[in-house]
Amino acid sequence: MINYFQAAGGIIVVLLAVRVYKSYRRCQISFVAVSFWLAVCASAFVCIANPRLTVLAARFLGIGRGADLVFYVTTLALLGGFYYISLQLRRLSLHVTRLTRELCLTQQFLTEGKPGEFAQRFETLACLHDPSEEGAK
Amino acid sequence: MSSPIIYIVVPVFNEARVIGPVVQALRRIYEHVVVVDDASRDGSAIRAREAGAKVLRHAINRGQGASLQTGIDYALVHGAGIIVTFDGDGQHCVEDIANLVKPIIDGEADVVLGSRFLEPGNEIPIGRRMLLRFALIFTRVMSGMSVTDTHNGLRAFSARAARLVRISLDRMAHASELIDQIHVLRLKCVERPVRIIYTAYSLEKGQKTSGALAIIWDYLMGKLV
Repeated sequence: MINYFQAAGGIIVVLLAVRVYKSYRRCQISFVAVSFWLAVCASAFVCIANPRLTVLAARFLGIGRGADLVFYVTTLALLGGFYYISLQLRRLSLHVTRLTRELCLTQQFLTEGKPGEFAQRFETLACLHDPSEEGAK
Repeated sequence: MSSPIIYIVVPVFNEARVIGPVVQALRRIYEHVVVVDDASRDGSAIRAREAGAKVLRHAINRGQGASLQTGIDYALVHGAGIIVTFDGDGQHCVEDIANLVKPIIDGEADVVLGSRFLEPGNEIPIGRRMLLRFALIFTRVMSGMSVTDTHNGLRAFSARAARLVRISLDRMAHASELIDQIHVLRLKCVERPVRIIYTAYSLEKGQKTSGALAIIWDYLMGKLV
């Protein structure tokens, strides 16, 4: 017999799995990504449908309680996800700033320089962004 | 020996009320004044251009650190020998720039940092003094470099130093990042006393306690990821 929480949790997990699969069918995510997320959804579904399985897994790993195992795994996954997202946001922010700067300087060079100077200024700017290029010349 | 070309870089965000007089004061002495308008919505760019500055404009707001790096890149491309950073809110004195660039011209330093705490005439509000002291301790612990004023916008860089230093923290945490880089790159750095004019406007625009927390967060995230 399942309770209301199990029913609601099971439905949410199934809906998530369907959404992931639709994304894969629309070529929005890769095969590796759909496999990973479907595996996560399947694990969550099994844990919700039969919580005793988590107790068995916890005992096998020497943790004791199934709830502790779920808590540890969730914490690790969230920490990893937080780090990954922070890294991506930082990279994205750096790229946006660089694009903004290059757009700003391009407009300025176009308005003030002669055609020959424009190319020369961009070569100098490229060296500023990557000092190794300067050494290579 | 010819004197190096001095470029003054002024980052600006919504400073239309004060940027005109600031640029006019700079232009009386210095030929190359570059204002980097960080997507202001109050016409700061127009005021700065009318006052005689070369105005660069970010299409979207990226923060003071990003604006400074844009201005520094522009100055380097145009053959600057010395680059001075100068706040756009009117709290710095143009007369102090000569004292800042002198150690670089004399070959005594690569970077000169302005310090309000070395100038006895400065009347620093108690709240601002405490905030800056906290920032000082934080920077000393994190970078290991002993300076007296970490978040002073008035600084001078030789062209060599400006090429080596790259600001990657877009917002206000760039000041601490600069200290870090000066230390890591072993650039010759000295401090010089500078006056700070605190007005109701500059205090309103300046850092708040909540802003300090954001700076610490940005700085730590910049270190960790």
